Amino acid sequence: MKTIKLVTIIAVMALSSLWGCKKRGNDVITATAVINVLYPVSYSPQNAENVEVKLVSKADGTETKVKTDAAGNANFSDLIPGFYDISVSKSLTAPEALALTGISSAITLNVIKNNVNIQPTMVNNVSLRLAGSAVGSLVIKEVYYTGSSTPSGGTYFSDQFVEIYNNSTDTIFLDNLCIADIFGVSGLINPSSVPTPFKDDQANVYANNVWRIPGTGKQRPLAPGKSILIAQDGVNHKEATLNPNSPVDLSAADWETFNERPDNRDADAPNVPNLEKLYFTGGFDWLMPVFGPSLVIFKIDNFNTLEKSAIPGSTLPERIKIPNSMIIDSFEALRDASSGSYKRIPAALDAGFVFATSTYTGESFIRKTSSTIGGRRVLQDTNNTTNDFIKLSTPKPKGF
Amino acid sequence: MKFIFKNKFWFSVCNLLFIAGLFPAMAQVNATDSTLLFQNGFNGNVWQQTKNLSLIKLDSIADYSSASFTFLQTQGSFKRPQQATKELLYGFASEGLKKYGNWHFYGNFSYQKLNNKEVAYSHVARPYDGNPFIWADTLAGDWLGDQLATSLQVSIPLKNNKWNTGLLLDYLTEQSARSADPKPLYRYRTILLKPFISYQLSQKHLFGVKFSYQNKNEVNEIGNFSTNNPQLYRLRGYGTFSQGPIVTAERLLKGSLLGAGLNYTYQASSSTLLYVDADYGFNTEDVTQGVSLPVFEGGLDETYANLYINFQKKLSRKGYQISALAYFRDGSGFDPVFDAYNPAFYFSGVNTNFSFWIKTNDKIMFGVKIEPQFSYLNYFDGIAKTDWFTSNLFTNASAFVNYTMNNKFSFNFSPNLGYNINLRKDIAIGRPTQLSEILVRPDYLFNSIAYLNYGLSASCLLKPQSANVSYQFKASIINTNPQDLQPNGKDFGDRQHINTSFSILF
Repeated sequence: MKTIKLVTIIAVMALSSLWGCKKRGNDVITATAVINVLYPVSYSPQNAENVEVKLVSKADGTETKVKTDAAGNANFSDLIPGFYDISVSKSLTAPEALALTGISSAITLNVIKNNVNIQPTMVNNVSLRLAGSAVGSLVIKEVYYTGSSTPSGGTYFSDQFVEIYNNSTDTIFLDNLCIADIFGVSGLINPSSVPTPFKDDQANVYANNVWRIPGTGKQRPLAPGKSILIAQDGVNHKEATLNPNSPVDLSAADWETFNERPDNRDADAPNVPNLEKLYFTGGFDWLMPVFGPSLVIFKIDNFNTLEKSAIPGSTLPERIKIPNSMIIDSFEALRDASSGSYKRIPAALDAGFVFATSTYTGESFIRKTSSTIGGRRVLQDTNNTTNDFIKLSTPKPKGF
Repeated sequence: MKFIFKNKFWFSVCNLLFIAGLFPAMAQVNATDSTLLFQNGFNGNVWQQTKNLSLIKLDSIADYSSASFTFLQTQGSFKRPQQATKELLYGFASEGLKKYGNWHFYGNFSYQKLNNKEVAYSHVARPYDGNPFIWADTLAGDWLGDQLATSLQVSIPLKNNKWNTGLLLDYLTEQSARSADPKPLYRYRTILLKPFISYQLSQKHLFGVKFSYQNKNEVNEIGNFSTNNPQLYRLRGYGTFSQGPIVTAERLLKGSLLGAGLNYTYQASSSTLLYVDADYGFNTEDVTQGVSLPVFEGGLDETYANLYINFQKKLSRKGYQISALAYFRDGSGFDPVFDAYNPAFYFSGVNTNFSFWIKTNDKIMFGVKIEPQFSYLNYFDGIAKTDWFTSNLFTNASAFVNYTMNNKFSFNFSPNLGYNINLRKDIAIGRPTQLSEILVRPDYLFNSIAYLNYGLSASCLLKPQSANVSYQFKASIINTNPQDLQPNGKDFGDRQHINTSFSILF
């Protein structure tokens, strides 16, 4: 019996020792990762601070979120090794966008990188650049329409040009971009001059001539802060055979308007490509009114869908009716300060106008610079030519 | 704690139970009674617990044979997350114990239809067996299957009857498939071999050595067209998982278990016996995915140990038994994705049994059994930073009364009452995943709740006068009722177990 008791006691003690043991230990080695987030190239500063970076595990969908520091780095630690999808999204308010881009327009920026392998044995540094829709757009930067006088006191108007500028933060493709001048006199040019009969239609503009940059869609990139020059004639107008008093050499223009005629009255500069002539009611060449043109730039997939409108009370050829909604930018110049009633561009598109000292003065009008972001000029665009443009005594094609 | 075996103690118990005049005379236990005691777990426990057929001679079980039709239903929402809401097993079985000279044979065979309803997050046969690398998807469904199990045990005396050897062979095969797309299925098979050898040192002392080998194989397939756009979840621990869309996939589990053990029997007299059995072993299971290019998914390494002690005293009219089974299982899973051991579990516990039976006269025999069980569970997952444990004390008390009306009819009635108390519990989930709140926390809550178990079983035995066969009908119902609400205020619900069978005994 004693043996039984002893064995039983020992057995119970052995049983008791089996209780309460707990398993511990973690052999899994976790990983760290640094995700560096940058704003688009045209933004300044580049480092995106206080931006939420989200890592989603491909294995089980677990999300980990960290905000970037002042250097734009989101530091992740204790990550389970595996594949992750990284996503970053940042919504900028208008003031924030203004500080970064010079353009006061709210925008949402995003970037995604999928299937990123994060392992403890690797240096897990990933750099991502945010991207979003272009802030800002194309603007008419400079218009030289006055022409110049010749050494003999004559008039010379072939050296007109229009400069179009990419005021946005991204590359814009200029394929199929159209430029047009709008019907109507610039002021009381002669006693019979009356304001445009289309004045009451504030929803459309009526174009005399329409020219188009040819392309298939991605052939004509224009980088942010860059411009193209559209010349009436892409030649060096200072040449002795033309007008030594001309203030411009347009032989390096990007485009020229060439009106092919049987009598070859319009010269075709061999080194400057030609715009497509979509609609033309002018004379020898595309002559903008030296008293002041109204210009618009727009894009349309099929030009032929635009309506042609007869000029009320006139037998002149029809004009192209272009809805305001298509207009990207506009420029209005009139004869003088009192010619406001002759505005051709609806106020909704352009609330103001400019005027030169006179005709053939060699003066041009250039858009003001609003700010400079990372070396890129942001031009002022308040949809008011009066406020947005200044007069230059001498044009500065591709200059400021 | 110290067990004191004094006749005075048990005499006092008998006095409490035997109110004067209730039990005027006590009758001898016969073969039928032995079987009855065996069925109620009051006798033959040594053989049942250890599956060591050489010990059958110590249990004094008479030869028997039976063929049965069985029906088992478990139903209710109080369950572990990956269990079925309703489990149905029905089929037929047969078993028999036969002695030829000094040789003993035991065999059983069963075939059952399986019908498991509303099984969620489990495509495998045994989601709670221990292996954490299992398949699942988000679509709960009903599973239909078949199970075939057979066991053969033989005990053979050797030279001078001092040596005895034997073998146990268990074979189980099961297959099941879900009716809902993409119709996952499994085919599960285990083979267990347990050879043993024992030596009768003297009349009182018997020593034995045993070995265990089990081979486990499970095949899972998935890939039937589905419009539900299911995602296959590859569970890798307790919260850790990976998921991906299902096209077609195959999973293979191969496991092997090796163990060895010793046992000692001290037979103080023909009526007094002390039995001690210990075994220790290792279990490894590897899971691979794919057929043409198998990819290692994970492996389980587990050690286990059991210690069983049984003290029993059997007289001609009464007897008592005290037993305890202590166990632990310590497992950890190796995950090749992380090249590290990630999930781990530890189970341990002690199941004790205090039982007493008496045959008061030719007609009445009754018994009382109290079974306190202590258990400890711990689950750990390094990736999901899961660490939870719970320790519980469950005590079950049951009694049976058998009334023999005559040599043709007897009736058995057995009430049962149990209660589980949670002693300690804690859970931490440092990096929760989608499945932490679906599988991990609910499993912790289930294993930590206090609950009441109550039930009743009854059987009757018919023996036509001229036949050598008896007919037995048994039915039992047990209800498990949680004693607390879930943290969200919702009720756990109940769990009900219904077991019926019709047997032909011969």
